Amino acid sequence: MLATTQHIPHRLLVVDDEPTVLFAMSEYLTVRGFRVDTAAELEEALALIAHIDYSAVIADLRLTGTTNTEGLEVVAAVRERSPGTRIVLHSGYGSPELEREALSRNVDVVLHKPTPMARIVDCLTRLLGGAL
Amino acid sequence: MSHTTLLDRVLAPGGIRIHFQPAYEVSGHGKRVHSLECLARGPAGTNAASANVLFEYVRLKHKEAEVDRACISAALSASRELNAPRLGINAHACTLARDPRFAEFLSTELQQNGIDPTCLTLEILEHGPALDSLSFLAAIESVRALGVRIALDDVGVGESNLRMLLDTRPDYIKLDRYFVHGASADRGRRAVLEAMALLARRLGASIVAEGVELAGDLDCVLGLGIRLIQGYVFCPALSPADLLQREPELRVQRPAA
Repeated sequence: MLATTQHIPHRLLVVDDEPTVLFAMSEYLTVRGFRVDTAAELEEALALIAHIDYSAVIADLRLTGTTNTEGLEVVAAVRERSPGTRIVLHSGYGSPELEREALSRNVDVVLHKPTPMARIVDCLTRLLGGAL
Repeated sequence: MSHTTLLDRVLAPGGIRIHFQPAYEVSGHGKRVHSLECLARGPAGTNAASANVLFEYVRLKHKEAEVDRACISAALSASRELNAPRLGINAHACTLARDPRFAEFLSTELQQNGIDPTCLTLEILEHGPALDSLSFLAAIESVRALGVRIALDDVGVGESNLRMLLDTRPDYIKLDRYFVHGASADRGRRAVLEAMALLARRLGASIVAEGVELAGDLDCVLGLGIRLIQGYVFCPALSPADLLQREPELRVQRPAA
């Protein structure tokens, strides 16, 4: 089995306001053996994080909202509730300042869009500490 | 381009699904269904299918009033499939505080579904620290004036505290499962349960133990004189069809054609 620890699939949360991105990532990561939840809004992501422990969260920096940095709110929620969860911040508009801000909040990796799916899986493999 | 949000799907017709969990009255003669609590779930196949995620999301969106109304409409409609001795429906305290026409809405829904208001209990959830107390208490009185009884949910945790008990003077006090689960092996929990049972008696309220899952905890709460029991030890929350399989006496008797 892929993407597992002792046959239990790693559970991932993918947060992005583009339904096509969510669909594609969910399909790809599910085929690679992950158990994938998706959220299209900040509040949806925060509600899931409040009740589910994820192995990793892949969050877009910019969701539909007012601040353009809603992804950082996702990061803060994950770090508060589940310090062991690995975080990948996905950014299409990020500046070096935002990237530094993200890393200062203990984001594990910042990836710039567009990122090949295979690279995301490589990244998760490394973060979750096992060959997929 | 605008996308359909989770909230859109929750509020769409059929977006709310209702399950029912009985509260049982236990006596020397056995147990009987005292009431059915209507529990809302979001659309199947979405993150909101989990009640915890649904209401966390709704609170973060500050849409408690809209969603509470949708849940109540769905609950009262779904309850027509059952012959319930009493029904319990939920509303956030902030919905009562912010929705000046809540009692009017509830009265209309009860009429449309042919439900006697005196058979209904409004269970108040409180998750936020700040609400307009005057509006909230006025709304409680308006709901009471319909003949509906008031329950305070999750008492003992969050903002469902002693002040809320005094302010709302509930007919039912629903003790949070935090105090019930493991009570048989925990003197501290038993002390809280005993004190709350005494307080309920002094306030003239009935007390309900929520989240009773273990036989030992059931014996414990019964031993403390708490007779209204809700939890997996007797019955989980079920769809109307599954509940009828388990409790066939709740089937509505329809006149023969």
